[in-house]
Amino acid sequence: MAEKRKKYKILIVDDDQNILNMLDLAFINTSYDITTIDHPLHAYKMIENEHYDMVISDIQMPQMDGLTLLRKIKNFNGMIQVVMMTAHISISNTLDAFRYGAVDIFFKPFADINEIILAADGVAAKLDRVNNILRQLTDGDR
Amino acid sequence: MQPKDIKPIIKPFSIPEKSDFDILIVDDEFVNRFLLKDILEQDGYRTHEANNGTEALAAAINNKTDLILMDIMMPDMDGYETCRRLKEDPCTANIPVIFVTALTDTENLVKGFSVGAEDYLGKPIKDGEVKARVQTHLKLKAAMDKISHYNEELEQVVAESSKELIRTERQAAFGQLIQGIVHNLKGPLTTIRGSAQACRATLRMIRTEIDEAGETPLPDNPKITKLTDGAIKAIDLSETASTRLTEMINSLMSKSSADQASKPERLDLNTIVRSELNFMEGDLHFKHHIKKNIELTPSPLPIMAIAPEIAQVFNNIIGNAIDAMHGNVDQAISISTTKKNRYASLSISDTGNGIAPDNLNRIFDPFFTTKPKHNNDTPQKKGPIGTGLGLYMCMRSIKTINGDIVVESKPGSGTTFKIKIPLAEPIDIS
Repeated sequence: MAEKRKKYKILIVDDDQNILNMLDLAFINTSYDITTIDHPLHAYKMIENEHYDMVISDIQMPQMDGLTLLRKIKNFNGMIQVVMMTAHISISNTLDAFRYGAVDIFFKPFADINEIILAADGVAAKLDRVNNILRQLTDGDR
Repeated sequence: MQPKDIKPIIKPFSIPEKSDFDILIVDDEFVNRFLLKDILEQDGYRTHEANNGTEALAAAINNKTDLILMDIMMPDMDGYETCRRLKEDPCTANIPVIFVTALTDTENLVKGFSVGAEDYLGKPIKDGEVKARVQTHLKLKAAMDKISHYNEELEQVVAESSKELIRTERQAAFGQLIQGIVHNLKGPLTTIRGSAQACRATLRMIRTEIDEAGETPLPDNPKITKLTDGAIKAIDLSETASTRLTEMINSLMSKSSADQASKPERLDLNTIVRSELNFMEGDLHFKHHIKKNIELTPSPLPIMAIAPEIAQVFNNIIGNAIDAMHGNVDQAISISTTKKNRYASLSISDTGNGIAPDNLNRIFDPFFTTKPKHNNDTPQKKGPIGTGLGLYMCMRSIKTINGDIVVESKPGSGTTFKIKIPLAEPIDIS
């Protein structure tokens, strides 16, 4: 907490604008740089054009299903950490999310919104550690 | 796939004996009647006589008549007119009419057929011809009767099957409807819940900020403490409500879900009943005001089921029983389990007001309820959502595990629900 670290960029994708607003509020006092988008196709365009460290995406969306978005993101840049969320609680959704490389999955309505922030913190810690090693490997180029 | 038992849904139709046939002879001349009667009775038929058209019409309506032999030339009402009237009346229209006539020219024969006669016998009467024609027409009539009998039965069967089909379809559609509604409720609920939680976290941060800003530390600023405490309390309330809503939605979802996550497991019906009863003792009304007769089999009753679902069914039916006895002086519930023919059976009886016969076969339909809606007098009912769905959900749960629920009820003398669940296969220890 005290230690200053890189400000990670998170893109949140959900077709429900209210949920985006709510998540934006939930992250208000965190160190993350939050962007929200209500369209998965636009979301993918943004990921192609701009660097995001993390994506939090819904699964059921009319324009493109979140699992497809997940696969496209992972294919584009495997380093991007993706957290899925869904109101459709099923075995197949859960298993597919992990099969395609998601780091976590949350079911709507969320039991505790703080858990998502904790998940982001976990991902951030992982990225800190991995980035640290990557930096060392690239010859201490700080 | 096992071949399904085919029930003889259509009752067989037996072809009658000769002595079962009643033949009506219509002639104004005694001699002619006598002659025909003699021939037919020799052959084993039962005969009846009529003097004229009017008598013939009355006889055909009032007595069982399988065939009519009729003279054409009769005073007052002739054979043609009598025949026409017979064919007009739906009660007699199906009785074959054979004219016995000397008028065998084409014109008269055509006239006979045009009023609906089936055949004719020429005079003078010949033994063999009479027997042959009568036999042919009786056979034909028997065949026709058989067809119409089967037709009626078939129509009934079709009507019944259609009814059943419509019910099943409606219930399936209803299940899908629930899925849809529930799914759509989850979005706003996520927002409400998440916002409340985010709001609480923000309030706490504001307090910390004020504390840290330090001019007047919070413990010494009762006004801000009071306001933020109030806000947090309000948020707690909305979060509690949203938690309850989430539980309801999840239980409704799991009930109507085709993509059922939990699988049936081996359970003891008696254990479920005992633990649910234990749980219900928490309800003071149930604990103190309702007499309970409980008779469970001494040995366990293994069934393959999903525990929360069976518990829900049990809860629901007990809840209904309690509602049915609401306001009565003597309130008693009998709960018993039995083991019979590879089935475990759970019977729950109340001493309530019973169910009207008209309602009895509708109580498992979705949205059907005998309880007054939105009535504060009715104790709050446990269940996924309001009234009208409880028993529907129960039936669904029990049918999923190949069981059945039967209800017996008489208005004024209580209701008994019998839940039948197949016993689990014995565990193979080898």
